[in-house]
Amino acid sequence: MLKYSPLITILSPLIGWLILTLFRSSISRRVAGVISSAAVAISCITVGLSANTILGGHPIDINLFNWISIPAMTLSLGLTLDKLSLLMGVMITGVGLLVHIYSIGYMAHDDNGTRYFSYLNLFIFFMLLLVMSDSMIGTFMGWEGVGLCSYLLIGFWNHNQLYLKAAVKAFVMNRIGDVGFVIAMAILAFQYGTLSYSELIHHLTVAPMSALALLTVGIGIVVALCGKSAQFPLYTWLPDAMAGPTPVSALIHAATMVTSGIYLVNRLHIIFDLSHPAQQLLLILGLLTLMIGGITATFQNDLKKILAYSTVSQLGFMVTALGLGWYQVALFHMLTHAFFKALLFLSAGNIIHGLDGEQDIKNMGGVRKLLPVTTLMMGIGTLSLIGLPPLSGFFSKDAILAAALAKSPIIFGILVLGAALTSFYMSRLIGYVFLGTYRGSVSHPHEGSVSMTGSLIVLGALSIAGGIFKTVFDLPETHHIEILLICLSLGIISTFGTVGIWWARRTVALQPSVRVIVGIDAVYDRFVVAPYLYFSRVIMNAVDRGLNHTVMNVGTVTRWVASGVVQIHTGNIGTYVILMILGIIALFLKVVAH
Amino acid sequence: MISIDWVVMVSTVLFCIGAAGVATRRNAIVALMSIELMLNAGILALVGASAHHGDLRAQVVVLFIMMISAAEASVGLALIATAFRRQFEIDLDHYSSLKW
Amino acid sequence: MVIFGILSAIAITCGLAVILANRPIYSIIALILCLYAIGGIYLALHAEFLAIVHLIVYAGAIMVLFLFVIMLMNLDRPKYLNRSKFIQWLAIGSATGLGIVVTSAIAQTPAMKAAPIGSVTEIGKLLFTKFLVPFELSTVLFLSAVIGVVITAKSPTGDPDQ
Repeated sequence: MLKYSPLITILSPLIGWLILTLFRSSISRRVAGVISSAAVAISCITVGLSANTILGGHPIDINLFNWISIPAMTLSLGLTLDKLSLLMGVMITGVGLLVHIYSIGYMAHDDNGTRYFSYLNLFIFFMLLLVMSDSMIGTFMGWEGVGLCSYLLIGFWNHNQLYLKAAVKAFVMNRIGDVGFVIAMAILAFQYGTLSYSELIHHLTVAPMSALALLTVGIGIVVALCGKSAQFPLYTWLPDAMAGPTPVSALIHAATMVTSGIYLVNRLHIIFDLSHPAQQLLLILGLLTLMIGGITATFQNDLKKILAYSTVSQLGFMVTALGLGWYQVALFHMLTHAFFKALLFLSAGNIIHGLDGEQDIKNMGGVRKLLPVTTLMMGIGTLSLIGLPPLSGFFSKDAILAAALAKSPIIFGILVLGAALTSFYMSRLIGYVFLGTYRGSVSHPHEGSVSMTGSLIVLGALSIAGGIFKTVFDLPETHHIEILLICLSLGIISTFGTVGIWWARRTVALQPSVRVIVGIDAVYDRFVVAPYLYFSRVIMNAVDRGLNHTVMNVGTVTRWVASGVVQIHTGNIGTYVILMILGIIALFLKVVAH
Repeated sequence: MISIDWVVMVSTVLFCIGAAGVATRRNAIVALMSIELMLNAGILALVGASAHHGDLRAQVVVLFIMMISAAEASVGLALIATAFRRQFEIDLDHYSSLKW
Repeated sequence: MVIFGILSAIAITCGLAVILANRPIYSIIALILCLYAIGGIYLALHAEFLAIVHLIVYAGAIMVLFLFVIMLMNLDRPKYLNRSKFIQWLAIGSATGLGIVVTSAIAQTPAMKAAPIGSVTEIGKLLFTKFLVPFELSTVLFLSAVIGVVITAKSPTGDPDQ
């Protein structure tokens, strides 16, 4: 029984999706919510039951089928539950289950609830496929699938043109990342004739490729990561993705889909071990992203956008850890981030839901009196994010700082700066939203339903206690600098936290501040989109219209020729006789010539 | 003995003259006469051939040709007369309704 | 041979006159002369019966018919040549070309020799044995031609005179 657990885990949400799609019109929202939650629960339980075996060192493998078997290449699809996929699976199904339960309350008034839950289940299926596949090709299928579900869910409220554009933007940027993935797959397949992880790792250890090939594969994976995990320069889709329902943001854009890149690098970390430039690239991009995310977050006025840029920044932290060679540190931070970011997003969902859709923090304030439970939860999430010991976030950030300090003080300095920014923008958010007096205009702000609050509490507990998981991972030694790090964290938090709150209180009365437009999108527009549109127009004129005209002109030419030839019919008998004579002459000549 | 080459030569010349006449003349009657000329040229060639080979069958054929040409001339003239009665034009260029 | 030469010269000259004459009446006269000349050639070729028939039918009947039509319908209009010079030259050119081609074709065939025959009895024999069916059919042809002419040339009001 246990040896089928990966299959059960994956199939359960798939069947949930199938049922909800086929019977969409006849299942009510509540029932849909229950069905989808149950499906994810089954996955969660199955994964949990297998944990013991796997942690004991016996990964569970299932070979599904051989797809391609030619002398040059063998591709097979299969599932494997080893430590890495177990961790990811637990995170996905656990947080996924909580988000599903939360959604039951959140989407209680939405007419399209059944469709929403079907998409959620489909997403869980693809994400599980991504992490449990034993070959790159299966991961790629899951990769594409979560991109698709992200598009479906971001554009869920599809009456709004702006939301649809955001969905398309997310999908297109993901796609650009996919190109990198495919290039990496192609080179590996061409070189080694297989895409199965175990075989690839074996081959790469025994007979690695040339440095250039390794670098290309590395770059390919990095590009894929940039697309999926929102690193510079492909990160602008993430803030726009906040157009979807908040639980979607919590699940996909905080805890699971955006972590696919981190997972991929972990699976194929041998590439980055072997290719130093690729690792450097990860480091640089990570540092760049965390700074950009942090800086942009401090200027945002939309509640969800602040959290979105915060996600971008935290992903930058994770990628920095990858770039330093500490892959498991990134995994640890990913786990704790899943807890507290999901908590933050869901609390934000509570606030938005309670304030009837208000998302601008300028119009909030004094929410601690209106929604006390939510305030508490959001507070816990914030403290974990900014790394207050002994919450979970502290331990993971700790690990990253330790790794950086071991490598170079400059990197350490940048990370500290990033942490400072995090404290600042989060406390600014707290100041605007929860403190002071209510500035908005909603008459009956109310707390969320039981399902919503319940999930929050669970996540809150995990955010607090998540630090105990640190023993699972392979982390750098921190004993000697533990005190230093604790003091550093406390120092950062207290100073920048206070500054943030003070800043919020001071500027609260001011009019809406200058909108900071992130320059990247404008750059994209000018240098990528505009030339592409121009090029398409050129092709349309040259090829489409040109072909059209050519085809039409064939007819015109025919008619012109005919109009010339028809002149023979003059209606004059004399002419006809002449023509006959000429014909006879021609015949004679033909005959006589023999 | 008249050699057949000369006879056929004369016949050819007359035929070509008739052809030029049909092609050129605008008066319908004259065109019809040119056609008769062409026919006669053909008959001449036949008679010459008959004299050459000593075969009388050619002369019988010639008889038939004459009969036919007579019938055709009369019918042609009747048509011209009718057309003239309707349109009062004997100019062949006028009758060009078959022009495209 | 000499006679043949003179007669063919007359025939050709009259043929040219037919197509180049100013008025149709001149064309008709020229054609009659031409037909006489050709009849003469028939005699020179020892086709006596044919010569007589030719003169009676062609020069006697058909040309008289032409004359009648031209006189009665007052069709004696002055010269009508096709106005377009191009067409004129094209016609002459093509006719000449035809002549050249045919002549050269004939020049390539080998000459042959034979004896002359042309008596009436012989023709009569052939006409009523080998060519009997065409002979009978030609009577049908004449009948249809006569009917056609009568109907076509009838005036629309039923008046025999025009």
